[in-house]
Amino acid sequence: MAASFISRMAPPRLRIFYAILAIFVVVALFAPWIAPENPNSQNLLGRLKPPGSDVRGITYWIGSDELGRDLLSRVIYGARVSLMVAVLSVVGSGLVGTSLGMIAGYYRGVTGTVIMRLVDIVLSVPAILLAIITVAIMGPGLVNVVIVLAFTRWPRYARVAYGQTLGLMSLPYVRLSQTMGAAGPWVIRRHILPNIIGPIMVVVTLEIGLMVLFEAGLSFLGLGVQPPTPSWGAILSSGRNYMTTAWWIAIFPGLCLFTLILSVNVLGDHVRDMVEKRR
Amino acid sequence: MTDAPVLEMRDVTVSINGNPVVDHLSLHVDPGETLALVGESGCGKSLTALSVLNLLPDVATRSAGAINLQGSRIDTLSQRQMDAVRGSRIGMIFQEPVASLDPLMRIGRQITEALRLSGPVSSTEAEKRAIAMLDRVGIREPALRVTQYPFELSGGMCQRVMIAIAMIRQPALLIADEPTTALDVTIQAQILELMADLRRDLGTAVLLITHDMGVVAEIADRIAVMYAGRIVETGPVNEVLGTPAHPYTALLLRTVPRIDGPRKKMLPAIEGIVPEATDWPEGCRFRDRCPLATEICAEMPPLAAKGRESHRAACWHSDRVAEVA
Repeated sequence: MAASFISRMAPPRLRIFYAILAIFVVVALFAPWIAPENPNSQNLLGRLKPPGSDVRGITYWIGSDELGRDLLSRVIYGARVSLMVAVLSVVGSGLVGTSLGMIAGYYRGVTGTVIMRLVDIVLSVPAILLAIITVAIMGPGLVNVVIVLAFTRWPRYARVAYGQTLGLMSLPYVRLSQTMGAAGPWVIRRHILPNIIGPIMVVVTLEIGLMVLFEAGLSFLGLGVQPPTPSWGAILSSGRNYMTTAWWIAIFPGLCLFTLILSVNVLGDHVRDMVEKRR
Repeated sequence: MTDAPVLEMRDVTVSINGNPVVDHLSLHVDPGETLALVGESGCGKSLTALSVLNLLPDVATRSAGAINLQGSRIDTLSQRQMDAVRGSRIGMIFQEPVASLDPLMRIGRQITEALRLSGPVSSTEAEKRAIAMLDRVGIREPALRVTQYPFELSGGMCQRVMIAIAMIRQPALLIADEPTTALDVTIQAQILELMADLRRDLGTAVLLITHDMGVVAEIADRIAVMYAGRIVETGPVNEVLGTPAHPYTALLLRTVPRIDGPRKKMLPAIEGIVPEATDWPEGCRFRDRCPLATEICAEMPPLAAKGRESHRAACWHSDRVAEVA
């Protein structure tokens, strides 16, 4: 039973992606113990050193940036910011979107129309524009990035939850619960949510990769996490200016983004396949 | 026990987009009695049942009439007030037993959920009652079954579970919408026997919706035959099945295969289909398909007593029905 579950959840061809994801999570969680240097300590003698350089006893394994900070340490701490923003914004948008979607699908009528038109409205506003407006009002920063992402991404969940709920509404077990005298919140919590959680989890896994990318994008534009806090997007952004002379600054955070998002997306596809196979 | 009918519907009309699909329907179910509501697909049987619970689909509305449950009106209650009526005073079972159970919830939880809906119950008490109820509906090893999921049970067992869910709060009325359609004949007989048993023990009145005349003959006390949104004939089962007073009933009975009937002969069918609610003919709605139809049928026949007061039919030509049988 347990063995077959593992082989279904993690067939051999996917184990490498689980491993990559696990490495990133561990690195993010234990960044202070793993990072060789303080990510913010500058060293003017060690500016823009290529990977493998040794300057006064400090080894820059993947090079240093324009202020002589250890790039490896910055990328390690950057994983923390990226994953934290991704998880928090997915949890926030997932909770809001799924709840609203289920309510709209269950009650339909005016409630449903209002919620789903709100979904259309939010989807019609470009995320970047909304981010700029929010930052202009509230100022940049990690918390605000999470709020912006949660606010722009909940419609994805609402649409999926709405469609799935509509599908369940005509099923006899939902009707049976109603004939038993169960009111809306009861049915939604006990019968709808457990039965749509599979498709919602598919959206969650795919969104996590996207959120990492969004955070990088916002930080790249200077709307996200503020210096000197390291974030992959911010490092990429500053490395862009040194592409010809110090390629490593942009390449390594870029590679991290690439492998993390690839792993998350591959695993997300796998989750989707499994959910669909079950139906 | 009072003499007031458990369920009384008077002139209930259900409309879809302004077209009545259940048209001034009146019926009553007395305490401890089983009334069979019979008719072809699409004649409005299920909508009639759902209108009692006020759970009509969005497109349908109840536009007229009164519904009394044990002497008090329930059609004027709000949805919130109806939540207290549903389940505790009216139970319902459906025709898809497996699909009617939540696939991700243990059997025990689904039964105790019914109890929790009528107020706080301790979980040990609820589980004890769930196991007792499963035992009552004839499920072996009930203590094991409560821990299982619906996919681990057969269709017949699921139907028993559904009956347990509907009956655990001992409602006065059980609405059974084609409860045996999806089951094979052996299980069908067992389920019907179980329903008759429970009705005898608990005194529950049953509104049985079916198109199976065999089922009707087996467990119903009275029958109401529905055609195109109206009741065309009603009365005690023996009389209606023995001497039908409406040609539709007679033709419907003729379509039931008989074990002693002629072999190798085509089973007779009623010509045509039930007309859509939008093009019901004036007068008697069966006249386009009726072999007895004459000019007078252009006028709507009243549901008049035939012989005994309890046996009524809506036909101008009840005396000639024997010709079609």
